[in-house]
Amino acid sequence: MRGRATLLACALWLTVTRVQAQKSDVLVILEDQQLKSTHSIFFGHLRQLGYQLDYRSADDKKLQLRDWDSWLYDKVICFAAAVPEFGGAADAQALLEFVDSGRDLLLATDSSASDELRELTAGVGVDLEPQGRAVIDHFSYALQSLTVDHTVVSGQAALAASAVLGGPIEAPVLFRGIGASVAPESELVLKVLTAGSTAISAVPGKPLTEAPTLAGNETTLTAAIQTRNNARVTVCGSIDLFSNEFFRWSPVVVTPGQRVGQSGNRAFATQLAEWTLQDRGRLRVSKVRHVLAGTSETPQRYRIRDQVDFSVDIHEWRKGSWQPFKADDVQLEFVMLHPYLRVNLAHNNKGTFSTRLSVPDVYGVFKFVLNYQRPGYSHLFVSEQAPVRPFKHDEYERFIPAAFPYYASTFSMMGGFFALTLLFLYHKRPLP
Amino acid sequence: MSSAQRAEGQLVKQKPVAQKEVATISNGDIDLPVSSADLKSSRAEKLNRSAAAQIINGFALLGICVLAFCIRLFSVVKYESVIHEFDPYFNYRVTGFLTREGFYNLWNWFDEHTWYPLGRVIGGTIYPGLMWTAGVLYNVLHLLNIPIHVQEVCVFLAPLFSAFCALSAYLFVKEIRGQGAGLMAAAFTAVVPSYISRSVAGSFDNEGVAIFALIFVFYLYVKTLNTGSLAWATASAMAYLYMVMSWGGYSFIINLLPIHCLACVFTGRLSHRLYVAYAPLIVMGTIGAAMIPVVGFNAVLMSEHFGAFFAFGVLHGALFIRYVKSVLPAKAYQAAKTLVLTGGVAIIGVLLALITGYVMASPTFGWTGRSLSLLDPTYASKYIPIIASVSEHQPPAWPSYFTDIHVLVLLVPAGLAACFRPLSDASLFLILYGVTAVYFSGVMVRLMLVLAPAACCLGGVAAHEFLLALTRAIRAPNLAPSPVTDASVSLLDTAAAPSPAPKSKGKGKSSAAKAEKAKGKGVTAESMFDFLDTSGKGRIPRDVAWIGLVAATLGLIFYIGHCVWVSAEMYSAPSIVLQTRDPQGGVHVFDDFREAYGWLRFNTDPNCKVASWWDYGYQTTAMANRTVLVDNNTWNNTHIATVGRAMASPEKKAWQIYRDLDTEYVLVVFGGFIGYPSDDINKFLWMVRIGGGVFPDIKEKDYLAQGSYRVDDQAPPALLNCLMYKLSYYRFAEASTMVTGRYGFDRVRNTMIGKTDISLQYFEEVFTSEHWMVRIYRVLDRPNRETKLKNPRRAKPPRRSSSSSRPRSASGAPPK
Repeated sequence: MRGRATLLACALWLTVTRVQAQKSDVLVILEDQQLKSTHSIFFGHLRQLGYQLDYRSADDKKLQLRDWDSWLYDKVICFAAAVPEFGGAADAQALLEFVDSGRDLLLATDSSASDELRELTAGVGVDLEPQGRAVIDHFSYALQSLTVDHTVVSGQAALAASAVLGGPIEAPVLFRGIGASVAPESELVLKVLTAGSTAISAVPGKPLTEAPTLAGNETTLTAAIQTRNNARVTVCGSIDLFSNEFFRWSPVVVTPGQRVGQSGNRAFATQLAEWTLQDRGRLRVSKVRHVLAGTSETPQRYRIRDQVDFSVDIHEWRKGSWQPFKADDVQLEFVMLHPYLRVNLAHNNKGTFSTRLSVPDVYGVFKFVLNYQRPGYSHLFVSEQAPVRPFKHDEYERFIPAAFPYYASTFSMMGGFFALTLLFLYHKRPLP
Repeated sequence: MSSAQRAEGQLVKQKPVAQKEVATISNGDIDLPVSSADLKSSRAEKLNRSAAAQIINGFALLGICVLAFCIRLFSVVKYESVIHEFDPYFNYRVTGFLTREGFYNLWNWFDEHTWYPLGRVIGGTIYPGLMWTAGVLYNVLHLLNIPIHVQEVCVFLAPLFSAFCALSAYLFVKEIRGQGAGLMAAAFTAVVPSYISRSVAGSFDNEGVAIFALIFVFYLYVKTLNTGSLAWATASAMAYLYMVMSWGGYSFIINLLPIHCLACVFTGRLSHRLYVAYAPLIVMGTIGAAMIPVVGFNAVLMSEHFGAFFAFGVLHGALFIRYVKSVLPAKAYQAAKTLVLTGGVAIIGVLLALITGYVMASPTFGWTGRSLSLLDPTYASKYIPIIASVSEHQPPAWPSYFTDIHVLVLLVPAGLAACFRPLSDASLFLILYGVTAVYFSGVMVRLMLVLAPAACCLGGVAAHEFLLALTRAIRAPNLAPSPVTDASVSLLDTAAAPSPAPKSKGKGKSSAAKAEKAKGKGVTAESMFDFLDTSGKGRIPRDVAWIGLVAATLGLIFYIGHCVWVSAEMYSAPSIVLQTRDPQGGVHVFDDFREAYGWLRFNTDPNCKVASWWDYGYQTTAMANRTVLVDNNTWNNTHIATVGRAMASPEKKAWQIYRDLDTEYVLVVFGGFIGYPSDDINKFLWMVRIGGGVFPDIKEKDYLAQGSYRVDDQAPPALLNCLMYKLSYYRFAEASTMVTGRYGFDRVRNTMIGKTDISLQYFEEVFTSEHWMVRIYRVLDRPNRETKLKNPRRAKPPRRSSSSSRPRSASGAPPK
């Protein structure tokens, strides 16, 4: 367990150093170089944030993610759909390894998504619909001038995702592209944007003869994934969502007759990108320490019923620096097979979370476990082994009041025996 | 003389003869109550002979000790100076801790490296006698500037104590039957194979010192019984304390002594000597036993010890009745008797009800499971699979009696008969010891170890009597037996050994008459081999005696030969290193266990947890220095059942169980590659039984094909999919072609395995030893990403190539 905590610390340290190098290179894989201009607002925002963008074509023969063991980029943004295969050394497997190394990926695609991309999204737990299908909503769609396109639908930003998006987004988010489904038991995938209740996933322009397999709120439009090593991946079924056109779409008419001002795409896209590129919701844990209460030493093992002071520092990455994290729901568990104690940690506004706990009256190999998982925030997992021993032979109370009758009985018997012996040995029975 | 003895002297109106005999006995060890007239005539000559006999005796004992030590060194000569088997590794580890950290730290040692995450309080759960003995020896040697490693002390401790055991067998039997029988018993004990099996060099187990302690307690008890001295009684209580410290088998003593005590009381052998021998031992022994942490209050709470207290009470009752009888007139005595009987019965009834209530409140009737499985041989197999699963807890096969005690099988019945003629308190004790030991050895093969010394002592008595009668027949025929020869023979004769039991008043006369008769007839008159009596008409001819002597000598020679062979070939294998001989005569060594433990030691995180079946727990902690989930100290059945359940579960479920226990490595022992039969697949049914005993979702019948256990293609799916099967046979099929040339042929089960294409999803092979005997797997972490979760809305599995001609699934196809 301590090894794991060290690993975690190392990973965090790496993260820190990486960020301090400030906004290293972002690889932008584009299916079509035109996207650079049609999505200029989005990319401009990223540059404002300080990222260096390296635009590459999806079929670029020199596309390369790593040079032997060192990764060339820290983040990848991929706007691609129909490319059957990436150029160069990049492919779905390489991108998944990229994610497994703790780096982040923002992926947007559309109805023509190729099998390569499908494999990539399936690798992070998002199953795209078959090629050619799009999300269609015949009751609630966006209108622009006179063209009627039922495939431009408005998505609803899920309330649970407000941590990802930095707050609720009220305006409708316009979406044109492919839907996806997520396994019900998924723990890591967070549905950020889902379709309205009247949406279906089908091939546009073709009559529908059987019930669609994916419809309504189940249709995931954008999914945010935080892997177990805290890498972040976002899968969005629409490239257009990030486009200047959708950013500027105004006024939006959703369902005939209902008018809303500006589309929410700009806020949504930029916030989503900030989260994905680890600019928000990032936590780090440091200085895990537990000491015998009132002292500053960590014993090799605690004794049952000892008082222990536990503290840990948690910081949040905000506005370019590590700020103290503030939360009232950080919990600590004291575990042997199952938690014997579960206590809330109090913080001092300087990022130090601490508590005093008394070791239960059970000996064994315990662990301090801090497992903090909140949607939108990095997972924090700390596990420190702390064996608990029973009393030593000389640590019990020597004389207890309840035993006084027994002491009295013992000593009186000893005295009586002594007296009887004397009597027996030196008393002469008169002869009859 | 103690006050008790004084009281006894006042109470019992002993015959002067009896008192005189008691006096002579307490003078020395070998004095014999030969009538003084015979002695005076040839005193000088006898002294010479006696001195010579003593010297020869001493050298014989020395030789026996050297033999006892040396016969156990085969393991060191054939292999190396290494600790054997499983439990000794734990004892070795504890001894190492003791020498490093000291006595108090051992007492308070909480070991977090075993039974993760429960831990084990080592100090309070071991019988520390063995470790303390080794620790003391180690410290003494270092005090003498002999820089010996603690491992060498541990390796050679058991042979050293078997020499001591031979000495105590000599003393024990000498107390009963004199020096000759004692020497024979010592010689038998020194080489008896059953005892060798537990005390070869390297077998650093409790039994190594405990058998010595057992015999030594018996010796001191019998010594006290013969002398009636409180000093000896104290010594025997101390020896009993050492025995309690050393081995759980002390409960054999604490039950055998009361049986003997009761037998003496009810056969009219009640005497002050019995009281001095028994009562202090029980009182001081119980107080002492309660001070050993592992016994503690069990010494007064468990049913094992109740027999001793019962006999204690009966002994006092009997003495009290005798006292009352001596002070009251006969009439008043009768009145008191009826009064006390009615009152006593009532009180005893109440007491019995209380005790019965206390005992019945416990599911095992107050007995520990292990003891109950001795009283009811079917108990363990019905209720405690973990005890039944150990091979040494099975009843022994008949041939093992011959292997383990050889010629003594014949001598034991003769010895029993010999002990009856004449019957003394001491020989009665030996009889009871022999009979109970035979019973226990029939229940558990492990308790053959208790039988072996009994058999040796009985055999020593019998062989001595037999040889004595034969040699006498050879020496006698020319002349009529002269008193000198007779007396000289009697020097080594045992029939005259102290056996004066002060009889109760009623029997006094007959015993006196008997004594008169014995005096007239000579000391051998009551020997078992009366019919061989040289003076009688049934005396055997000289040539027949010669033949008998040669036959007996041959038998003994065969015994020695057998013992040496058994020691060299059967009991010296350390089981951590295996040897085979190929047809050319070369020796092939399989050192896979140490290879694997070495791998763990040097390639894994020091804090990682290793799961394996409990057999390998002690070795893993001692040799690999890694934390284990369960080990050979099977104190927590549930935890073992959890591991058994994981092994019997499908891969994913097992993975979950191991993850919950923070396990990082799983170690399995597999013999199918080279044909090593005691591997985990053969132990697997016990894992299922033990696991199923606690977790009902594991059912034994799911793992059996029509009631038979098989690993071939007839095997049921539960077996083919369980973790143990997968981990054992992973990648095995390809490898087996290299050895046997047949794809997937298991050399232990002699069959083709049922599933050859085994793939692992949650485990990763990290190490397989040279002969595939030990395989170590890593428990994989949870996957970083979620892939292949069950998703009912998934349209179709993603494919790599879009040019595939596979038809699209119905749901994905666009309507036409």
